[in-house]
Amino acid sequence: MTLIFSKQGAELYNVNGDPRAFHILASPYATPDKKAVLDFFTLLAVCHTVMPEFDPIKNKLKYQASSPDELALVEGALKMGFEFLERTASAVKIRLPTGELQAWEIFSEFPFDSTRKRMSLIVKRYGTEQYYIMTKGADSIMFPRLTIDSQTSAIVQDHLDKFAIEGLRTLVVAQKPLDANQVRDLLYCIENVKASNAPDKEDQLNALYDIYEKELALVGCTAIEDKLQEGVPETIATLMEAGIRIWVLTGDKQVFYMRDYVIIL
Amino acid sequence: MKNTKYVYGIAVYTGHNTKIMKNAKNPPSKVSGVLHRMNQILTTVFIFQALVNFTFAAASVGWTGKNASIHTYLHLNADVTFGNYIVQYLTFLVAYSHLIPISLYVALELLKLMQGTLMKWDQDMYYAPMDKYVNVKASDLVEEIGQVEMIFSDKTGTLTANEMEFKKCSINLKVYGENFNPDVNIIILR
Repeated sequence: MTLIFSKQGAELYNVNGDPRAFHILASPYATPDKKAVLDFFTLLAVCHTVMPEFDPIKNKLKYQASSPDELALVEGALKMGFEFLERTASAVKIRLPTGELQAWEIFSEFPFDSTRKRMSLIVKRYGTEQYYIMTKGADSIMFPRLTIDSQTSAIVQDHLDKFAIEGLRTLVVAQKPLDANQVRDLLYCIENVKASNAPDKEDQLNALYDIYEKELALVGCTAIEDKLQEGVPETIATLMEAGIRIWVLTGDKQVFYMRDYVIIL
Repeated sequence: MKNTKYVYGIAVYTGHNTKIMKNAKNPPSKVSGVLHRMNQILTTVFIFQALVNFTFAAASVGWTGKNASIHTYLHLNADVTFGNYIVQYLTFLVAYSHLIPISLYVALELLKLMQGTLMKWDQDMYYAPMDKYVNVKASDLVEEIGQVEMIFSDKTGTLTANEMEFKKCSINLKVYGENFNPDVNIIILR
């Protein structure tokens, strides 16, 4: 077996010390797992709003993101060798672990907001004719939008619950192929709504996004750790020993892990 | 807005209702539980003292009115008048003034100052990376700190460092990343 990765060492491609994903990628055979892993990390490297910034002193890319969650995902993809290189107004460039460069044209972005709890991109890989909608969002919002059988759904839900018990923030990523007509219609509609003076412009746009963010195929789920500050678990344990009640205000799942403690709010 | 002929405007929350005015009030001064209780007790003592003075002055005026002529060597004022009553009242006020323990306040303040100093010296509250001890800016509420019952906190950026790390993923029904650790203690806050 020849290693097809070019620059970095193999250990870089582990998801936190788990070499299995790496082995799957390195496998010369086109297994369903390999395709799934490829799709998953490609989506992570493409579907985001992170800006790359070249640091001339360190001679490497630095990512700027408004949301630290997105940054974590892009950096996670980078660890697996899916490097997000460049962003222009209408395209992103990524490098796969094989060294292959891919350009993805972005036709539209459905932005994230706190009620939608998801963001989507309408993309097409440069040189191909297949359009995709790539979506990532909170699991509660995403599940009803997936085309998924109950068995798969149960397994994925179980994974998500386990992630949540460990205090990880979970996201679901999904995509769906679109045909050129659909994309043309969509772009036309968006253009119309945006140019109009309708007072319920936002609602109209959201309704439009809704139509396309449906019947998506599950690509995978991510789990992000929101790292605790030093000494927080010990401090909270001490405070609780002293009989002080603690209330934590958070938008995360209602379980909250602190290294050795799970605090159920 | 461009295509409208006219626009209605309504001003709400004006004048004294604006946020800035509502916040302009001085914050209420914080009084510790001990001090609050002490003030209550002292008020009771004050009322008690007033009652004692009232009764004793009345008794005194009554007694001297009857008996001043017997005990002439005392040069007592035998007038049963309101003026004499006031003088008697003030006499008893002076006599019983020590019922109000003024020194208690001083003692308490000194105690708090010492408590504050002890907190400043507390090795358990020393933060080595910054070479800092606890800074006690006001000693008014030191004894309250030991009686905290609830703490409210937000999470991201306060308890957490706001640094996210991609830990695990589930792709095609397989979980990649560290193995799930079931040996965690679970604390249920209620």
